Formats: sequence, structure tokens, C-alpha cells
Amino acid sequence: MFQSPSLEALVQELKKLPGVGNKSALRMAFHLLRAPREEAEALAKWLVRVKERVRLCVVCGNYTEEETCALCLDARRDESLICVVEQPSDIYLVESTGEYRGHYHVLHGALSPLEGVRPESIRIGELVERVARGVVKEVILATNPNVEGDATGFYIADLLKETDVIISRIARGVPVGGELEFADQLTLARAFRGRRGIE
Amino acid sequence: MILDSLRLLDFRNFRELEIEPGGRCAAIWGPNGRGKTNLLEAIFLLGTTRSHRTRKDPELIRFGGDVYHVAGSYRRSNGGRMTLSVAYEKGGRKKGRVDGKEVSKMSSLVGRCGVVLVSPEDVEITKGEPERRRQFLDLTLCSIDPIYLRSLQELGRILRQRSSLLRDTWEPDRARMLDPWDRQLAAAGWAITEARARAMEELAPLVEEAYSALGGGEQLVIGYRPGIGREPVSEEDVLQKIVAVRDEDLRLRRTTIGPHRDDLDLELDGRSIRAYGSRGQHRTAVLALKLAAVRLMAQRLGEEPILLLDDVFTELDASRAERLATRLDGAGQVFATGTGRAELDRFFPGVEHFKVEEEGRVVRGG
Repeated sequence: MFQSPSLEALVQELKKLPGVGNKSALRMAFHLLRAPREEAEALAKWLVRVKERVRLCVVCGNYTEEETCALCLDARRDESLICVVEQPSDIYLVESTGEYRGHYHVLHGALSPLEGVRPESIRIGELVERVARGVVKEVILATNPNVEGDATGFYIADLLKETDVIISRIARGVPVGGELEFADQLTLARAFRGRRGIE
Repeated sequence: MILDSLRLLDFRNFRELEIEPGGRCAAIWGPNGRGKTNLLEAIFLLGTTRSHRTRKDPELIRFGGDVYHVAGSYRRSNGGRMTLSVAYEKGGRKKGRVDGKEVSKMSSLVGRCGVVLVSPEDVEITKGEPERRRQFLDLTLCSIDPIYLRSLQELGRILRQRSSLLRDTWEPDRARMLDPWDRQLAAAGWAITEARARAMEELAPLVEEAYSALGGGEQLVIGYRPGIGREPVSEEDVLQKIVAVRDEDLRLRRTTIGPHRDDLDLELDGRSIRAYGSRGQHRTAVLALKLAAVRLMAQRLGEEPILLLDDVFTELDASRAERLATRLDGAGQVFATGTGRAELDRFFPGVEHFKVEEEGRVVRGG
């Protein structure tokens, strides 16, 4: 169907992106073709630049262009708290709540023997070292609510058992603002199981 | 639940089909090989999101087609209406809709319309490996308990992760590595065992009663044999047992304890039906199990499920078939297939007829 090898190659590359199928890839490619040259150049420039400049924060593992990320350097944040997440994108989710003012630790994955992901493959050792430095008082595990995320949580909790930090797991529950009627049964059931007393 | 209309597009041998059953009993008949079972398969698919014959959705697409589409419109006993549909495109993901609205997870379709299917292969439930009996329980429980379905999916994932560790002989500290998986195995294992045990308590008297009502002279007793053993009374107990057999598991490289090792004991007058049952006894026992499942689903869902009888009457002797026909009160609607009109007429007076003709055409009244 393609009369242009370049266009075909572009579509093939776009299709490798997560969530992009044939149709979306075609739409993006045709959009870029019609768009002003600057738009395509800007996209190309930033694609290359993120690969060149973005690296992992030496402290938390978040994406940054410096040695240490802005979140870790922010003196207003509470460094006695560490929230452990699987991916940098999870930081943006937690930050968007405005609820949390502590530090982060990005594992870059979750334990999965099936896929060969071992404790050394993700940044668990770095977390243990951070805790060993003594400033941290509480570790909040915010790994994904699936078997791999839970296994990772249990593993970390076990490693930190001997230290005197408090270890907590974020609660799973009913979405706020929504009505009970619209919460799916599973979420509701889990919320019941994890219920707490009213102070 | 009553299925008022069923629409198929490029499903199995049907290019385009719409039938409107609507009554309490529908007879689907015609010579073999014309797709009678495919119609039951479609109704089963709407209730459970999958076929009873294959896990491969591409096989369900009509030869030469690219997408199959199955849609049903239902009437509840209180008069409420609901539509369900399932569509699958080659190379894509299966999509489900409830009342026209797409669901994010296929699992949220399960149990909207309870279905119980009896097919000739079901004799394996009483005759075959323990896996067949677990499948019977799972199919019944998944429809009435969404948490059960989720626990079952989690258990599968946990077991695969765990066995991957058990086979990894390079790992120096396997006990520590196993720990997070064992804790989850204990949690999921306990949840599933409890749900199965509770269901079996309700099922056992229903099965016994159905068996004698079907004219089985003997007493059919059904019992649950949990793979975690009978002693555990909590998740912690289960975890202790799992940890205790760790070395054994590491040596054998498989998980020797858990609900994936459950079985059901079925005894006729104290003798194992699996070992000693006759052909007729197996058939009656399977029907008793299915009728009990119908009752259990009706109780738990608050809505009578649809019963699908695939080629059941040709296999039963006349007196048992008659008794079966009088025992269908727990089902909201019954679909029965057979090769001849007469045999179905005999058991269901006033039944609606659908004759399956060549090339996937279906004629009402026949």
C-alpha cells in the first residue's frame, strides 16, 4: 500500500510505541506529513535530546538531566519519608495528588522470576543503602496492586525488617467522588477487607 | 434469565443470524454437523466470555471472516432488560459490551447472565482427572463471585512465578526468594479453598437430591478434598504448611500444596463412582451436578440461569430423560439440541422449534 519507503519506515517505527496500533500509526504519520516542517523537526530534536540528556537520579532513580533530581534536592520535602514506586511515571501520579511531601525511590520494575527480574535487576539494593544511612523513618510501598507488585513489597518489607523504619503499604479502595454504585465489585470487596476504625 | 434474541455475525458456520427464542424452552434440531452446538457455544460465550470448546478465539471466526460478533438481548424475571455482546477481531483483543457500553475488563461480563452447559464431554467430570472436577467448580463459582475469578487468575500467576523459581537451581538463596510468593500463595490459596468449601456445602445436598430425583436408585454423596489438607483454619496455617514443604517442592521442582491440587470425592452408596460407575450412573451423576449448579447459581445470583443441554436426550434412556424434563424448574430458560424433532417434543410439550438447515440457516418452527 505504501508508495514511499520512508513513510512506511516511519509507520513501522511508530507502531513500536506502546498503545499504538496500525491505525493510530498511520494517523500520526499522515499528520506529521501534513504538519509544518518545524513541527516534525521539533519532535525529532526532542526525541534525540531525551536520549542524550536524560539519566537516572543517583539518589532516587527518577529521570533527570542533572546528577540529582529536583525532587531529591528540594529542601522543603520531608527526607524521613520514602515512597517506593515501580516506574518514574508513578511519581507523576503521586505528585499530582499534592498529598505527599516526602522523597521517592524508583525501582524500575517489579520482581518476576518468569521474566528473569531478580532483586538485583531492580533498584532494591540502593533502597536498602538509603535506609541504612539513617535519615529515613518510614518507607511507603506504592508498588502496583498485582502479584508482582505485592511480591516486591513483601520482599522489601522482609529486607527492612531488622531496621527500625516503619513500613507501610498504600491502601486500595473506592475512588473518591465516585459513588459506591459505580465502584467495581472487586475494588469494593478489597476496600471492605482493608477497612479501618474511625478515630 | 430469558434470552429474547441472539445475533451472530461470522461466528463459526453462521455468516449472519438472528433468532428470537423468548420462551421457556427452545429446541434446536437438525442433522449433525450443521452447527447446533455452535448456537449453544455462542450463548455460553455471552455468559462466560469464552467458548466451552476452545481457548482460541480465532477458531470461532467464520472461515473467510475477520471479526466475529455475538450479541444477546435478555429479559430478567423482574422484567428488566439487558444486552450483552462479545466481539473479537483477528490479531486484536476480545471486547465486551453491557447495554452497549464497552467494558474495560472482559471479566466484568462474567455472571451477568448465568449459564450452565451440559455437553457429552462432561462425563469426564465424574470419570476423568481431578482437573475436570475443579473446572466444574470454577465455572460455577466464577459466575457468582467476581472476587473468586480474580483470586483464581492471581493463583495461576503466583504458581507460574513460583515454579519458575523452583526450577532456577542457580539461585543461591531460594528460601528468601520464595517467601514473597509463598505468602501470596497462602492468601490466594486460602481464599479459593474457603470459597470452594462454602460452595460445596451448599452444592452437596442439591446434588444428592437431584441424583435421586433423576431416578438414580443409589445415594450420591459428594465431598470436597482440599489440596491444602483439611487441618488449616486460617491463612497463617496455610503459610506454615507451604513453608514446611518448601524443601520437598525444591527437590521436586513443583508446588505440591495448594488449591491446584483440590479434588471432589463422588461416591455412590459408598463406592467411588470414578472407579466403579456404570455409563448410565456417570451420565446421571453429571446431570445431577449440573442441575445442582443451576440451583446454586439461581440462589446466589437471584436470577435463574440459562441451561444449555447439548445432545443430552439422545444419550439418556426414556425414563431418565422424562425425569430430567420435569426437573428443569430451577432454570430460567432451557435450550436443548437433538437430531430429531420428535425426541425433543416428547420431553418439552409446547417447546419452540428452531431447525438448523444447511449453510447456517435457521428456520423457526421447523
